[in-house]
Formats: sequence, C-alpha cells, structure tokens
Amino acid sequence: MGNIFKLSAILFLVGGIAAGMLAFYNSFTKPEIEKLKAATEAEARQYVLKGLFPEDKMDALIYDADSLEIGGKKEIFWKVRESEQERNYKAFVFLSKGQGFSGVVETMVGTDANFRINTVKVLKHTETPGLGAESQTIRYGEEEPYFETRFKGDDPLIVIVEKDDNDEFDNVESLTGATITTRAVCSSINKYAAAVKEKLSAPPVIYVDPENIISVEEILKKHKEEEAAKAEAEKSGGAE
Amino acid sequence: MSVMKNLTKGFFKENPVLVLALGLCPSLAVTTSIENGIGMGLAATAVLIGSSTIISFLKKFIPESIRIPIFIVIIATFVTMIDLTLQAFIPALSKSLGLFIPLIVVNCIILGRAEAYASKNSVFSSMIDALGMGIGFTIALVLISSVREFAGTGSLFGYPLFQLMGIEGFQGSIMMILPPGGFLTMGLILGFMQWNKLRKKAKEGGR
Repeated sequence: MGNIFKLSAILFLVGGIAAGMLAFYNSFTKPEIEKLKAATEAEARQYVLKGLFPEDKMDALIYDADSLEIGGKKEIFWKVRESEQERNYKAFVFLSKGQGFSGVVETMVGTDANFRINTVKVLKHTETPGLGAESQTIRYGEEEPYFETRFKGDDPLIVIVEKDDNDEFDNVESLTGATITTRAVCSSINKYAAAVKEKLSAPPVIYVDPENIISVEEILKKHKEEEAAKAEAEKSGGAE
Repeated sequence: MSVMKNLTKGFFKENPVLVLALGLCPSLAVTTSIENGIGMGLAATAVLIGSSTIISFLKKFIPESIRIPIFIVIIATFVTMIDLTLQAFIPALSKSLGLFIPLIVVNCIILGRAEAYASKNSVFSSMIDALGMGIGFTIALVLISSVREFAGTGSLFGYPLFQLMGIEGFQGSIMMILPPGGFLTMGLILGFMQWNKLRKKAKEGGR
C-alpha cells in the first residue's frame, strides 16, 4: 500500500518539476510570441491596404480599433485614417473567420471607403497541402498569391464561389479541388462584412475634442454675431 | 559498440522509419515538402536528444512500474519547449508544421528509444544513439519528401525546376502530396530497402 503513495509522490514530483520548467521557459518565449503576433498582424493590415494610400503614408496610418459581435463572440475590426488630423475613414480592415475543410480559415480583408475589397490575405488555415493550402501559394515569378487576386474590387457583402453562380453576385473562381476552402473564405467575408457594415451605419458617437470645448455662452454669442452680420448684409443688400 | 557505429546505425541499418517502421504517422503527414521534412526531422531530433539524455540520466531513480508515464512527461516537456521556441523564433516553420509538433509527444521513435535504449545505457551513448536516430529520421523524411515534392509539384526546396529550366506548363501530380502519395512513396521506399537487404543476403549466402 505504501508503494502506491511512493509512486504517486514520484510522479507528482516529476510532473511538478516539468511544469515548473515549462512555466519558466514560457515566461520568456511568451513576450516574443506576442510581439511576433502583433507584428504579423500589423504587417497583414498594411498588406491588405496596399494601393489605397500613398506609399510614404503607409507606415503612419492610424488604425482605430472597433469591435463587433458575431455569434456571441467579440471580434475586432479597424477603421483606418491617414493621419491624426484626418477625421474621415478611408479604409476598413477586418479579420474574417470561417470553417474550412479541416479547420478555421482566417482571412484579413481590406476595403476602401466605398466598401469594395482592396486585397484579401489568407492568414491562417489547416487545409490540405496541394488543395486548400494553395490559397497561400505564390506561383513562381509572381508577387502575390494568385488566389487573393480573385477578390480584388469585389463587394465583400456578395462575394460568392463561381460554381454557386448567380448574376447578382461578385464571382470568385474557386481553387482547383478546394471549393470548400473557397466557399469558407467567401462566406466568412460575407458574414463579417455584413457585421462591419451594420456597425458602420450605426449612429456615430459624437466626437469631442477635449482641447477645443466651447461653452454654450460662446456658441450663443457666436450665433448672435452671425445673425447680426447676416441682418446687416441683408440691410445693405436691400439699400442697393 | 564504438561511438561511430552507435551513431551511424540509425542512418540506414536501423533507420527508425525505413527499417524499424516507427514514427510512420509524421513521416506520412508532414512530408509534402522537403522544407517541412527537414523541419520535422530536426525538431524530433532535438526532442529525442533532450529526452534520451534526461531519461538515461534519471534511469536509476525512475521506478520500473511507472516508467512509461514519467517518460511521457519528460518527452512532453521537451516537445512543449520546442513548440514554444518555434513559435517565438521560427514562426514560418511553426505554421507549416502546425499540429504535428505537439504530436511529437506520441511519436513512437522517441518513446521507443527511451524504452529500448536510453533506460538501459549510459548517458553519453544514449545521446549518441538519439542523435543517430534523429538524423536517420531526418534522412527518411527528406527522402520521402523529395520524391513527393518533386512528383507532386515539380519543384525541390520550393524551386520549380521545370520553370527554371525554361520548360513551361508542367503540372505536378497533386495526388503525390495528398495522403495517397505518401503511402505510395513510403511503400515503394520500404519495398526497395527490403529488396536490397534480401539481395545482399542472397549474395552473402551464395558465397
């Protein structure tokens, strides 16, 4: 009987030491992994916006993160403006996720201000090599994956696989032997784009610049002045 | 057994995949390109060396009746470390090997060597054995993956040979980088190894 306790104690000890070592190791790989993840994400965002902004402004773009809710889960998307002074959003970026053939396919999508797809980028997938994995393949002598170019200029709300054809929709030629992957990308883009669009058309939150708050009296005073100026202008106009 | 012999026996004579037929699952799954094959081979080698050394070092303290769970814990620790390292420093490889890195834990080569060799031999010879077996595993993966990558996509190391030679329009047989291609290639290579062995034996017998 005592043997069981001894064995359990040894196993417990080994497990404890292993867990301690891993915790220690994790403590210095974790920041690296997170740094890398943030860098990849930033790079992907720039990639999908390529061509929408002047080359020299790409590094200084302001990404305002906003969140949306899909299937009970909170997801982030970005509204992009050129500089701190610029108030109008010139582009939107979102990360759509959909179930592919053997796992979730994550696609970063960049759209212009009119909500047309600029570029998509398949970020993460576990699809079959040679079929669904072709979504990331860059052909020899080409600069970008050929699959991504099939989305350019389409309306993200209605991209659809060419096979499931319908005249009202923007068609995307499917990857050879990987219709399911293509469908996953298309339908996830549809779903997330709809959510983004809904969020964008919601009444905007009024922006208050804390440095330029004007008191009500000031506004009234300004208004009165304007009225007076207007009346004067009318008066002088009438005299003529 | 001399150190050299101990090291090189894993290369061909006792090659874990091609002769002992261990670790067939990763050998089939990741060998779609040479790059993946080498990455998997090196990752498994690192785990193999680490776990074999530690297990051989601890062999006197590990009670016989719970050796397997302890081996697994030690192996899993090394695999997790390798996984974290790849994620932090070689993300491209971590991405393409994906799920197969955690699965090194149950790679029978590693548990097999721990059970058959490291738990019975000295630390140094266990390390050499692990290194040899790891290199043997890598050789097998490279062999299988070069056949599959060439037949499946017409390229080697990601370089499209036919296009580089100026031949346009070559289309690889995608089947070769799908699972059936893995089984075919593996079967043919194993068959060749056996045939070669029998041929040698017959020669020796005839003498």
